[in-house]
Amino acid sequence: MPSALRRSERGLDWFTFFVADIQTGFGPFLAVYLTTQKWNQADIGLILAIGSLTGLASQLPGGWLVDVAPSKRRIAMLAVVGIGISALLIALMPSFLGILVAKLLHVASSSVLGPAIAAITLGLVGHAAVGPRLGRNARFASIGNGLAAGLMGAIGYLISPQAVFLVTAALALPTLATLIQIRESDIDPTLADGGLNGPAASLAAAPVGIGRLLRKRSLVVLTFALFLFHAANAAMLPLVGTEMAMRSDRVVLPIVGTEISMGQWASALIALCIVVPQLVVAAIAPGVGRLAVAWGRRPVLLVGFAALPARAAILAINSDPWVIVAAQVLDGICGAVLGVLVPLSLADIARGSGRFNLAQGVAASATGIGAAASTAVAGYLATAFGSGTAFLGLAITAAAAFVTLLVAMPETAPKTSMV
Amino acid sequence: MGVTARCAFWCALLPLLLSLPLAGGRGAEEGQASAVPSKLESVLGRDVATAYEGDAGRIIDLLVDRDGTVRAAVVEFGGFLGIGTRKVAIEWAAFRFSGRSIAVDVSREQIRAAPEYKATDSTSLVRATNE
Repeated sequence: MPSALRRSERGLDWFTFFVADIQTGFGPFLAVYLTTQKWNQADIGLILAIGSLTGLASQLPGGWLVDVAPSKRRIAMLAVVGIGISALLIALMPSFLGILVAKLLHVASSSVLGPAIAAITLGLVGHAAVGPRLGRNARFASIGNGLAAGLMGAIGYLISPQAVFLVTAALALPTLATLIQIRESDIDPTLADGGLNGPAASLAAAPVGIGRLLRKRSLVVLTFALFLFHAANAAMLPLVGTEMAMRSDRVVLPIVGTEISMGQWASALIALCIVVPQLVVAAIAPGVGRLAVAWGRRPVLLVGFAALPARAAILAINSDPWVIVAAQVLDGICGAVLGVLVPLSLADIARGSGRFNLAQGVAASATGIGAAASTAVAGYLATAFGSGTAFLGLAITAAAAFVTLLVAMPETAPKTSMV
Repeated sequence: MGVTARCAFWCALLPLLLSLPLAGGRGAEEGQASAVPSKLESVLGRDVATAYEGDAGRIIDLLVDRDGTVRAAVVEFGGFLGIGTRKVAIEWAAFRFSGRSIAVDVSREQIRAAPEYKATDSTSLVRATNE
């Protein structure tokens, strides 16, 4: 029995790894691909807007669906199949209708897949062990992200942008294979919804009302802080990328001694800015999970939320490419803390409610709205007043997120699990 | 897990192997197309290199004046996986077409100094460098 559970846990390791892989191509890269398919800018803008709006609208229904689904594994499976088909459609049918269907399919699948991974995790190991386990998930996801960014970037550059989506579709198969390694019988469906098991179960047989969950102070504060955090965070890397493209001078490679073109150098620096945080997350996420048990959630969350204004402030006053790359270490700290602590705090908050996944949908909605606001406002600030002002605006927003948590966020860890 | 890892490896490799001959086939087709001089082609999404340094970009839009004459093209430069790309409007006279490749007679300094292209602005164009 314990060895069977270990097999399920190892399945979960690689499942989070491959899910990160199959999600990489769907980001800003889609716009690049569509221009190579002779799409005009108006249509690309339209499809991206439809994608982000339906994405926002689908987070709550997605979380709700995972709560009511009897098998979290089966719904995760459907979501992976949906993402695979979406990638295939994008590669083989780049007409407006084809891309529209693919985009909607991807949005719907992703809104289910995100909460489903956390639900499977909670259902597999239970509330007491979920902190370190979420840390392990974050480690495997970021290794997947980092490798996929390198792989997809190379494939897009060396073979064709279309090949990125063919590889994505093919990677859905090992993703499914790893999901099957997680035994259905190892996932407790009640625990996966944030319900209680054992003697307490009879007291809270039915899930609590949605309204009661949504009025919980800890959920309201965390949701608002997440909105502010992503309002500060989402525009930062794209803005850094544009900065890199504009400021990097003629470059002589330090060791090789050959000069490379400005465009290649800027692309390489942006790639570094993407990979560095993933390395940091991979290194520290399990430790973050253990700290959240030892110290409680609040202090660890505060460390993560403090790293963002620090990073924004560095970017506001400095434009040296190497300092910018170094500041991405702070992004890794944010990534590790949020990747572990957000689902963990939500599991605390929704504990006994049977609505863990709906709570995840609430957090994901706030994240999405914040990110949308971020790109719009920072884009405006950067064009109107320059990127320094834009970074300053983001730094102030990030500081507001930190203060929100500092002033209003209660400790959510159950008393018994603290050491 | 050994089986899963092996499966993953081949699944990742398969489309690469498949797309190699595909890419080759497309290249041959394009070679044929350029052999017929009168054939018209779309330039949307085509790669562009700056004349001196070879920085690569991609044509994403064409700009015409009131008479419908093409005056400029919007080229997207740089970026990694779509992050950090930069759109610049370059005057049409700066484009050089030779066979399959498109070059622009502008320097990297000009592209660096050029404002980001915005559809709403009255466009300031990057001019061809006079030799």
